[in-house]
Amino acid sequence: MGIEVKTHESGGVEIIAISGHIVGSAKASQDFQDLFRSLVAEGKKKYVIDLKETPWTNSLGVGMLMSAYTSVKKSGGDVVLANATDRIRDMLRVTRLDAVFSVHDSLFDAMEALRSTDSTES
Amino acid sequence: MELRTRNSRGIEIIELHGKVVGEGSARDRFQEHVQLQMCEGSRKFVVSLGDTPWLNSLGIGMLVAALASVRNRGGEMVLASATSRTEDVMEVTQLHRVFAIFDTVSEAVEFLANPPANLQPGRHHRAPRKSVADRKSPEK
Repeated sequence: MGIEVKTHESGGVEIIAISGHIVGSAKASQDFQDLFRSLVAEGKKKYVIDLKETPWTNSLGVGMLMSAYTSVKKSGGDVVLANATDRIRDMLRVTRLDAVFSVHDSLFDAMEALRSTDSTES
Repeated sequence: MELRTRNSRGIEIIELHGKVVGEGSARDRFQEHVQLQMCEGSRKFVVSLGDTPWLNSLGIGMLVAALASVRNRGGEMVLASATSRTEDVMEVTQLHRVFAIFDTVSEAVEFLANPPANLQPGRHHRAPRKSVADRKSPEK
């Protein structure tokens, strides 16, 4: 059992859609990280991780998302979450990761939020 | 990466030695140790990074995963003795808003042993350090 990850690009934003429970197995984490490393290496800056098909994540899954977040931030990019379930939002709030990882109600809101950073960044 | 662990005043201290690259087996060992200690009742953890020259993105994920499991059970995990390179990573990623970071292990232990009413993340340095934003080109 694993997660399925689909990537597509829209209006300069990479949309990474995850389906399945994110339990952050070593293999899934490595694969997910490799995906982000290659996108970052291609010069992609803006990412939405779409969690519409992700009911739940454990702590290792949160670590997996934060690894991707770290790679993107180190390259000067930005990554936000969209369509997180209440359970995932609770997880981020309890761990206080909501201080760094912004969560949006829809893909549209997430993309708007990323576009609005254009004016503040060089 | 090597783990060395001890306990001081009921607080679990985990020293990480070597590069924290967070690959599968190292991450699992770290996570297992934290889970085991929580099963035995520990809720307060200090992760000492003084002997960790650097940590990559997966290493950050490893720390965040452990932090998540500890906070999910009402506990707290703080960092100590981070090198300036590690602190730069924490600042660039803004994770210093999530983790409390202390100059020394003993300060971290003291903090967890007598936590203030509002436990704040961020750097707990006596003297402010130069911000990474002040530098021309951040380290890759």
